[in-house]
Amino acid sequence: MKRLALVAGPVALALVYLVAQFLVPDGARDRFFVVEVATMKILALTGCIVAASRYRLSEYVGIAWTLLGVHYGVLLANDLLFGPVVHLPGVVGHKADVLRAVCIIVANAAGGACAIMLARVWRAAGLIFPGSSAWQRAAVFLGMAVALAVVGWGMWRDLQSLVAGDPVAITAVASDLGDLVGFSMIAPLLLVAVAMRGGSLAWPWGLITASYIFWLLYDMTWSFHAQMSLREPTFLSLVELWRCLACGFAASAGLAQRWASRARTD
Amino acid sequence: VAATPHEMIYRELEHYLGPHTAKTALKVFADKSVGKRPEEINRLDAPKLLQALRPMLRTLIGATQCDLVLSQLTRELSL
Repeated sequence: MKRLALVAGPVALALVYLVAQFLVPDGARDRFFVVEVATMKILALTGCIVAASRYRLSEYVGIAWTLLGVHYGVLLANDLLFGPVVHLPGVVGHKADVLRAVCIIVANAAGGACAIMLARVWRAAGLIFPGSSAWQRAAVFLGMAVALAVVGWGMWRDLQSLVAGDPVAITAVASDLGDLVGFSMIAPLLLVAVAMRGGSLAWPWGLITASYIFWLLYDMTWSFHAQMSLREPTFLSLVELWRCLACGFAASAGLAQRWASRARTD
Repeated sequence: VAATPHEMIYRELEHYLGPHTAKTALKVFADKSVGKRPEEINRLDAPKLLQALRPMLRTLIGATQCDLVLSQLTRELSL
């Protein structure tokens, strides 16, 4: 029942979001999305804290969840303190750009490091992956190719802007790099979850993989919305739906991590 | 029929790691710690095997839970 709730919770949350955004009048959409984005990040951050608190700070999995917490926490602080809609008094223009860039760089470095750590937990634990290593390598390369296909074009464009002297582009490049690393880890994370199927630890890894898949869809929608002929208000509603699911599944994964390390009860 | 040491350890690992990984882990760590196959492990070998499993369990479920699991196994195995 608890495990079903871990999947049903984020889906229910996404349905609530869909209904709510449909009911919001046009003039209030900007404020609605500020509240929605902050709520989702708070939820994901809470999940990370719940997971990390099960471990000592120096323990491998505890460090990984702390890093993911830093990722969501810094992004949340960025939105609420230096965002274009909500910000501290006087924090506008160049000053806001610099502070936003710092937040995005720190958040993406922490998020990328967490994804790598969770994907490499097998090695850290001294375990040997069951099954064929050729299949595992193929899955990892396929995942990296998909990540590159989704992020690559935007990253190339952002790098060109950076080289051309646009300092704000560094924020986009940092975000692209974080996404590239995170999405490249989807296949290794999924392999860990599949290898532990039937065990309690399969849940956090499965759910965090789901979270990264929804972030991938979020990025895909941003990257290819022109080709998909997506326009407002459908475009923003769709990307925020992916965000809801990504943050919801990150929160579920954190909860699952805490439950997974409990003792056998039979 | 009383469970053998390897069955008792497997049952505990299976809860966290699932049947496939628990089986692989038991095989790898039994070989590393006492140079035996899991089904050949006896009560005298068990402490060494439990010590070998400690870093893996600490990484995955944390030190506190790892200590609880290993203490419980030590009691169940009457070591």
